[in-house]
Amino acid sequence: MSLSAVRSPSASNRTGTPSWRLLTMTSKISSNKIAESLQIQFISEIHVALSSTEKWRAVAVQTWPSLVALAVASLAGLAVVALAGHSSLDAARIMFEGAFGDRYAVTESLLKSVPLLFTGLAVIVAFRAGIWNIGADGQFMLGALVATFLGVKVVWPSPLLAFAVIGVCAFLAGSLWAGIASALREWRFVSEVISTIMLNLIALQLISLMVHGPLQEAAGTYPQSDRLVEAARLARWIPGTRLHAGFLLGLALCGALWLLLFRLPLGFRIRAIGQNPEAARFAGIPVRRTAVMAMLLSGGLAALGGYVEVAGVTYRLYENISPGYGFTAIAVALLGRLHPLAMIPAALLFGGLESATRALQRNLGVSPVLAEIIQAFVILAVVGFEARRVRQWLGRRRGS
Amino acid sequence: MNVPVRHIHLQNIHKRFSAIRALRGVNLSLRTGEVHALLGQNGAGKSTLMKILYGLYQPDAGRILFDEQPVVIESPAQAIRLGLGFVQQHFSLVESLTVAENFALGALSERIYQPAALQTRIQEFIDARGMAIDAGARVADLSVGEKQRVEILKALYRQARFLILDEPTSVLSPAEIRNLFAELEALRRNDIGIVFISHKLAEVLEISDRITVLREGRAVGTTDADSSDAAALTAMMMGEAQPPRKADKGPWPRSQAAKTLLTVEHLQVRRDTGGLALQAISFELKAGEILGVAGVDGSGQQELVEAVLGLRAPARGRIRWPGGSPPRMGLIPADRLRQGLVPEFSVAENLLLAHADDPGLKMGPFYAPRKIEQLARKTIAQFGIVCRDPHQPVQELSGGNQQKLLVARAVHGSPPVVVAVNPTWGLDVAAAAAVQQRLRDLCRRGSAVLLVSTDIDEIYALSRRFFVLYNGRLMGWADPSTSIETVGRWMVGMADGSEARAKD
Repeated sequence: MSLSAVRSPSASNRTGTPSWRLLTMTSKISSNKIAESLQIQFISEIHVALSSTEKWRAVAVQTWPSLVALAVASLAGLAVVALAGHSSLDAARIMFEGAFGDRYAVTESLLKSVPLLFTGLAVIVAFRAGIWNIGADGQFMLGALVATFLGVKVVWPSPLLAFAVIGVCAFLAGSLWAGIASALREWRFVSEVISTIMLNLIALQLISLMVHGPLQEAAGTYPQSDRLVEAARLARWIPGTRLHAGFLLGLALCGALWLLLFRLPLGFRIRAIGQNPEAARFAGIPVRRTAVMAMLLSGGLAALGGYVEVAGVTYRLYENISPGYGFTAIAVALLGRLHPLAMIPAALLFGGLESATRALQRNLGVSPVLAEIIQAFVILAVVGFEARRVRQWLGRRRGS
Repeated sequence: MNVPVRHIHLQNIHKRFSAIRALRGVNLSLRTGEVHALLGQNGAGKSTLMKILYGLYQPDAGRILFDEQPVVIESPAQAIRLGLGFVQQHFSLVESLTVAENFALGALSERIYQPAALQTRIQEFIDARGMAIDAGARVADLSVGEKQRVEILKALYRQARFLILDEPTSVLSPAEIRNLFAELEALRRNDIGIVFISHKLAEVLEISDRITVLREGRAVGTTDADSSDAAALTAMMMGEAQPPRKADKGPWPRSQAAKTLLTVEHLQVRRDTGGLALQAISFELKAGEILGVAGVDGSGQQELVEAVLGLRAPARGRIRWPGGSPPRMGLIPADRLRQGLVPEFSVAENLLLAHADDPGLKMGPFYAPRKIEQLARKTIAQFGIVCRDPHQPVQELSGGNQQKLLVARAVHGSPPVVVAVNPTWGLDVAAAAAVQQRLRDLCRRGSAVLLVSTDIDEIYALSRRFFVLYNGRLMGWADPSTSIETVGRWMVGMADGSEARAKD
């Protein structure tokens, strides 16, 4: 996306337009810069001992598939827009402005990336352990459900207390949901792919049941909950925008997960059982227990995302609370190489893409379906270009 | 039957896998109507040779003649067309399909699949060969012996004139083995040529017409089964019995007072597939000794190791540790890439794998990358591991260097007990000697080593006493003064003079 988007302003030869101002601006705020520095940090962590030229070569080697994937997806997406009878150049400009056009657009992009940060982390922990958690969506919904319940039904004396208690409860709810799949996997040898997808469907129906019943708004008009009480909501972080504290929590958790995976014994064990469970077993690592821990953590992280979305953005629960965050998260996690820090730019990118396609809907009247097609192209391209790595990560699964 | 006799000649076959010379100029002649046994220790090259014949590998040198015509066998499909069938140890059957459907896979002639007609046709084929298999049964519901029969029949259905059976008896119960032998007799009368790969002497002598012994990639000799006996074959398999090496072992610290570090009492362990892998094994491991466990591969060593490590629960009997709970143990596992290393992890991370909770590598609750790297650098230098740096993934290292890393990890911090399975596997002479010296040094400092090895020379060189496992049973205790002929007989299942038939 970024390649063609960056090129389009100069191509349309409109210096001084908002999009051009924006370009300079973004290089300051700059998800790109963040991406770059994180990418370097990530690489350098693996290749500490490489000389600096080698380091740069390594960065190039590691990064190019992602960039090619994005370029291919951008072109495909714009081709679809052209097929639908719109100008590709206009579309590119509108999308870029929609994602980064002004301060509000940027914060909206960041906002859209928040649920992906959490679900992306969830996917990373599970995949690193060699577990295909396709259920981040359901775990997200469970978190949203529990958070709504506590945020609507309980009178909270202080926002901080609400934050702590609701956060922990949402986390546990997601852990429980993932725990079902984990128990089935470890003790009954049920494929977690199947069980987590099933649990997604159940979670969806559970939310439907609740917003039509016990949790429905007092007015009883729509299938949605009442608004969360003031104290249960997350603070807005930048005045005049909707960006809330959940974004910072997400970033902090990315750091925390990095610490866990690369600096703590539990994370090391998680990575070991993901890469070679048999060697881990012979090295005395309790494989089953570690796998369960990873899955509980994964579910909890996804559920925190649900809590943060309800308490920071929507303030209520409704059936469509997740438009498939748990699935987009898989693309985000893979694009971020299953690395908690490298995933941040990937999440920001997908957040920006969401904002961009919404702008496309607003300004060009492009069907939302088209927007989804563009997103799907990005996901396909990413997975396609990363296929080898994905196989490498997930190739050595237990029992196969 | 009036079918012409057919011949296969393999001439001067060479095959090399990176550093390992698997085959070094092997000649072999096969003919229809004959059971030809390939006998040899694990790693002697039996399976490699047959995989070349079946088109799974290409030889580096040498040629294959079918009825005096040279052929290049590029794929199993071509081998099948030439009339070869290969029954591997791991069956290539689709479990969810019926027997008849498995027959038809890749060999279905009609355009429209008619299950009933197919089943009738296959059933007739099976019945004509006098074997009891239901063509309509799902393969998943069959016993191991029946699956093997299906594999044999499937090959025959594809008009195989030569059948290669890779260790066919290793998965069978004694009753099933009798059955198999009766069937092989019938096949031989029907002018099928059979290659019988085994390391079990008694079976080979019973079933085969001719026997070719392979050792270290060479065909040591071919004899008629009638004119051969167990002793002669053992000698061929094991090589010239080397005089036990008693010198250069350094001081022997073990005394009556030596502490017992591990007591195993009447240990029985089940294998994954159900049967008993170990039957009533008892031994004690004392501080300062290297206790050897000899035996051909698959005699129960793996299950013994897993039981000692606490990875496999005993079905009966006990494993006792002096402190009540297992001490810190070092392990050099049998299969280094599956059980030992995480190929994608770096050298440093693989070192960390067995020492994940070592407080010396941490600062507070966190790992200290600097300390881990230091340890890795020290280890690399000490053990002469050739690698770019501690961050290189171990999958890029050569097999020998991977093995050195495993040894280094196992002896790091001098654990009281080290379980070493084929510790010098894949190492050159100098590196192997260095590893053996490490194990001796470890014992001198009071640790004990349980040395499980299929290399009898290694057992003789390192251990002061050892026992031989065969088919899960302890055949006898020996020490380096025991003759290698005796030990060799135990290893192939013959208790002094008489044949030992395991009762499952």
